Amino acid sequence: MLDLWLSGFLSLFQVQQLAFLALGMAVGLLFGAIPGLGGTTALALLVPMTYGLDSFSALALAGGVMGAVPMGGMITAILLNTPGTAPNAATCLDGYPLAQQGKAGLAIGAGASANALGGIIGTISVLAVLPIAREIVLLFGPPEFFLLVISGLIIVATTSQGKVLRGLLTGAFGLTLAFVGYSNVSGIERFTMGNFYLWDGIRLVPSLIGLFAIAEMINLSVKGGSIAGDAKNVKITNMSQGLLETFRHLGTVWRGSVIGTIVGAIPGIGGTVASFLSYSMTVQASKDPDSFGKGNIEGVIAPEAAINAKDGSMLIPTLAFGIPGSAEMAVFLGLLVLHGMQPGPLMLVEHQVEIYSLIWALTASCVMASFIGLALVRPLARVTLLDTRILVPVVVSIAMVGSYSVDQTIENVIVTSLFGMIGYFMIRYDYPRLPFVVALVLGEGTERYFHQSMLMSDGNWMIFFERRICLILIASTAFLVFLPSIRAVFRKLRGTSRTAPGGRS
Amino acid sequence: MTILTRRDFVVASGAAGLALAAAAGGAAPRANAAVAGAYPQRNISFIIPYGPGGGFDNFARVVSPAIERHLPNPVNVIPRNVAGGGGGRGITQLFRARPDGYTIGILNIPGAFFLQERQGGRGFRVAEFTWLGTVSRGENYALAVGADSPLHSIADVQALSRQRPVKFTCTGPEGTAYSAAIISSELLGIDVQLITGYRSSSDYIVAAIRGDGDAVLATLSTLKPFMESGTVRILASFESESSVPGIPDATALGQPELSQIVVERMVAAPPGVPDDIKNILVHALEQAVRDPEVIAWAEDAGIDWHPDPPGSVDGIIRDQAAFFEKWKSRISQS
Repeated sequence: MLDLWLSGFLSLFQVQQLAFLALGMAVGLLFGAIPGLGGTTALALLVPMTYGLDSFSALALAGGVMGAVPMGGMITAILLNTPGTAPNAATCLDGYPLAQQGKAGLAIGAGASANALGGIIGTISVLAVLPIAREIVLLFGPPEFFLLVISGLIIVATTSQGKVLRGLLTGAFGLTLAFVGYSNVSGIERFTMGNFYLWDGIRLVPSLIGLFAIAEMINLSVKGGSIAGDAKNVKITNMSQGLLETFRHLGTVWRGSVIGTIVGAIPGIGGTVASFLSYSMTVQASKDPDSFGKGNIEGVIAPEAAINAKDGSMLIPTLAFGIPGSAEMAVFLGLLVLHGMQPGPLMLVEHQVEIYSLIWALTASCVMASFIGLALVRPLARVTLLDTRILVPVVVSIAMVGSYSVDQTIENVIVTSLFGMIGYFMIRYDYPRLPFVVALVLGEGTERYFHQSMLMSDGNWMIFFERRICLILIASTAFLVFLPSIRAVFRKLRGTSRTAPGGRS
Repeated sequence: MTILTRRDFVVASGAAGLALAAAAGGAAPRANAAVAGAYPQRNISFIIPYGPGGGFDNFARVVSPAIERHLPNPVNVIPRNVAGGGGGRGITQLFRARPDGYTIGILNIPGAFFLQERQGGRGFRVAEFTWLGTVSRGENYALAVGADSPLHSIADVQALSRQRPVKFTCTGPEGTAYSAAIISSELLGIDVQLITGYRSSSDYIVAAIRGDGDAVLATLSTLKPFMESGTVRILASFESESSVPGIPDATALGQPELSQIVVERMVAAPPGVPDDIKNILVHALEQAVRDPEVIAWAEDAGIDWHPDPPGSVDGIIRDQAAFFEKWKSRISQS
């Protein structure tokens, strides 16, 4: 085992491989930052270029891209409330308020180190799990996936503290929209109105760009000034402060990474849920849940750790069985096939050195991208000082073009505009966007896994109570949901004199 | 609240214009290689009606440079992904493109027929395309079960079907696995229930291994890696002559019609392309699929690459259309 890790590592340390890694990293950072582009588009553009390269160089390139994209996305999420990639939308929730308070540097610094740590933890988990990858993929079937998805929805719904009813409302709205499109379980089209675009439903990335970026740009135009408000109270905090913050909240990093690793390994659920779930659970575990959404640094650390941890584990179903967990993975699969590596049960046996080389490339890119982010904190944070009148049109244009570029359909831009308006009203009237996003992502899966479970069991609901993993999932979800109430009861029993200061993060 | 002045609008428009120009700069059209003479005079678009990374995408991308080498003039053949509508959007775009030989596309047959049925023919009519050729010989299906399954032969499956419907995992009603399951189960006398909704063939094969369903139907090329790793057991191949030793084929099962259930990757141009242009494209494609670089790639990737004999494309599409007509009502019933 160790010699394989070493071979993978050494094969990366050739000049050509390192050059491709650097190229991939640069492209990943750029594409990650621009909303609507992202790992999928970057890989899709680079795959034809790799035709003719040896597999190690191609994998170094791919690893470079995939490792750096989250860092790029985080930067625009924090500075402009524009998620560079869908999972970064969770970073917007607390990252942008921090930028508004003039603490953009702090946020980026903390996020960058969370990135690096999350990536490393994710890699270690993947390396540990890879030998039993097949067994794990085989343990999770539609009933387990259904329960996972429901847990995700429940957890997110119950952490909209103080605004539970509004959270449920926006969540329900998200679920409704999630069902638009062609259902391949039943073969029925819903609300597609005979339109090819709506056949595939409401796309996540254009709606996120509208909901976060455009909505905030509308908000800024109405407010005026610049993102960081009054220039006087802006402190461009330096690198070390951001780094320190992450190490003060190692528990959050750990929690985020674990969630990212687990959720990332489930095909179809993907990175967005990983980051939002990590965010929600951090809110729930916190001593001060109300501070979230207003600039709590943990709200940046948690999702960013999860996003980078998931990058490694997303490879598990992709490599073990050729089941891509996301569009990015699907393109990556294409790259593998182009280089004669058929993903599937034989891949783990025949191409072990290549796989380890890829994992090293991913990790290296993730860590290096974080360093670059940290080095660029000062100039980047100055964006928050730009005047709205220059910033808004530039961001709106880039966001619209980015939305179009997802799959070159103009309808994406229409979706983005519509959601921009909806998002603005959600900001104005204080309706949480988080449950909406999670419901939009999970809605389709909820229905599909439920139907498949029913087809498997011939309509018998007991299937959810007869399988081992299902029972474990039900128990854990119940535990997580009732945890705050249990803790409140314990606190009352112990009395106020026993509340420990500081406490776990 | 600041009130925007006219000057602000001017500044804003300027900034927006600059940003748009910069952002969209990447989408600038490529330089063409225009040469005096007949067709082709500029780049040819090769439409792939699916997103990047799939099987069709790979085939199209590998074959494109080969096609370039066999055209009379040096132009580029540029693969373009036009995803959406389960393939409908790309196929419609191909159907409506100008029949001047500068747009071609790759289609899944019989997938395109199913799409036409399901989408009410709103975008295209498969029969009217100008057919140029196939990328590789059509792939046959095979019936397989997980390695842990108690079923060891078609007879076992038929016996099980007498007790309860046999569960097959597949994609959705728009997919080829679905129709393959319905047609083959009727021919083999198996009572079938389909667990639909899986995202890809790998997904539903793993589902069968896991035990979500009893059995699975997939193309032989998709099943081979699983078979070689010992995770599935192929019970029957629907080829007329089995390429897998020890496994019965369509002839042995007494159902030669099973061998007509295939997935073809066919290249087409919009309806009404003039014959001289069509012949150039047909010739270029035929040479491309026999190109040594393409064959080398297929060997590396472990793909069974057998180009169809030249001139067979019209016959293939005719057979497939007839087969589809015959089974159309039975499939849409389910």
